[in-house]
Amino acid sequence: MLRARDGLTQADLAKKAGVRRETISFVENGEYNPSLLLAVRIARTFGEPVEEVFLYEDDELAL
Amino acid sequence: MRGMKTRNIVTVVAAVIGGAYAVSRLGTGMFGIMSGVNVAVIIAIAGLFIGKRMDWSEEERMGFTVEDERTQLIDGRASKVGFKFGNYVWLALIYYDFTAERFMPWPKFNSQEMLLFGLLFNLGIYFAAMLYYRKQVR
Repeated sequence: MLRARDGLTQADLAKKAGVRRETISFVENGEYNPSLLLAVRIARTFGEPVEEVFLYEDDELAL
Repeated sequence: MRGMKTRNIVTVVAAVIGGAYAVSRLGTGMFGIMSGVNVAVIIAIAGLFIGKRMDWSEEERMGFTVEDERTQLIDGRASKVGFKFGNYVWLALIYYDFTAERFMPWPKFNSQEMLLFGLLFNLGIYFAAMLYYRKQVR
């Protein structure tokens, strides 16, 4: 997990991304799809492109 | 966590004292008891709101955001549900009152009862929707 790689807690990531701690928890558990803005903020925190941070299976992307 | 527990105890004690005071002033009849319960509930709700506000202040002091896109989404959906269901209830109450007044021998509400019921329903449905969407918003 990227957060563990960078030694961040959920609280640290929440502060950096400007959201509540529980929002990070919901995002990590796949229970909340963040807005594009938040996704980019989180990806930048890790220094990774968005598509490397948020991975979706093909069936999840199907219309 | 400990502060929260103390706060809850203080709220419960204040609600009980307030309710008991109302009963002592208004008597132990139906009106007195109902007024006492009302006062206790109002104090308890105020305690909850104040507690929530204190939690938020603490979070802000620690550098956290208290309102983000997810909380706004939840609040928006809960407000919409509260507004829609609230409208139905208000309409139903008004039509009931209108019908009872003019056409049917049904018991009539007075305006205070109608306002109290309608507003409590609005608040209740809003908070229930908030609790529901906290788990459901994706």
